[in-house]
Amino acid sequence: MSGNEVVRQIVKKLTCRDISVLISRQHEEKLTAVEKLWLRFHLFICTGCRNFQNNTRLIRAALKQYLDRGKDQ
Amino acid sequence: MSEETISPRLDSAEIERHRNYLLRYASLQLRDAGAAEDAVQDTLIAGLEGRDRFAGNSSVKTWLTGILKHKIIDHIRRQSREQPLVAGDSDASEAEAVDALFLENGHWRQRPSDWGDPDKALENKAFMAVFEQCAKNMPAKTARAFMMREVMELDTTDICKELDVSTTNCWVILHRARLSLRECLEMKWFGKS
Ligand SMILES: [Zn+2]
Repeated sequence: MSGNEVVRQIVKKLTCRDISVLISRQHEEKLTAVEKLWLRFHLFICTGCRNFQNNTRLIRAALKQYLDRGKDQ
Repeated sequence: MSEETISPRLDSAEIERHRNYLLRYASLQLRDAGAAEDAVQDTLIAGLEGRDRFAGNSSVKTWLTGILKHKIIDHIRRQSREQPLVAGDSDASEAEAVDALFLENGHWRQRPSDWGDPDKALENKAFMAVFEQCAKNMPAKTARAFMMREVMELDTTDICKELDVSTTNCWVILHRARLSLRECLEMKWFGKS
């Protein structure tokens, strides 16, 4: 089995729920190289998790903006 | 030669100018208008009294925020001693709320939607009002951890220490926080447009 094949087998077992944990943790610290690979493979095939990742980025940006300007801009 | 000519004093207006920012900062973290007000007042006073120590190598805002951070942490520590947030029931129901977002097999029950161009939402006052509401509706313990991360920008090690939980638990809480805040925004804003 090639390296990519091993990753693919693991990725198949990782659920959206597992991946959402990684996406969240990415806001806290750097993921390991392997975790990044799992994440990349999963995001490639999963719109829901891709959206979740973008949603969490928007949440972070919104909080920063709220802090700087308040809700009335 | 007066002291003034050596290092121009930070004037009080320059300090006062940051009150609203500091208030939003403290309110998000403390979720208690009175406590936030007190922390900011203490910060501004400390800022005025200590303005000679302001080195000028950071912005006034950053300097004041640093003072406020300490006031907030002091408040949280005092509060956790006097009236600790009990995990118990709310913890279980929050875990259930996360379970409800996923199917047995770990797939999304309802796939997160595409929120489109972030700037479009961020430029919208109505969105920011909904955002504030959703942030304020987060459960207390979850919100405390989340704001420590996102507002105070503490790293997980420090957050875990303050909250007296394990690192894993810390990640669980932050994950939960993002899921629930996302869910609220999806329901109250993005799902509607
Ligand atoms: Zn997925």
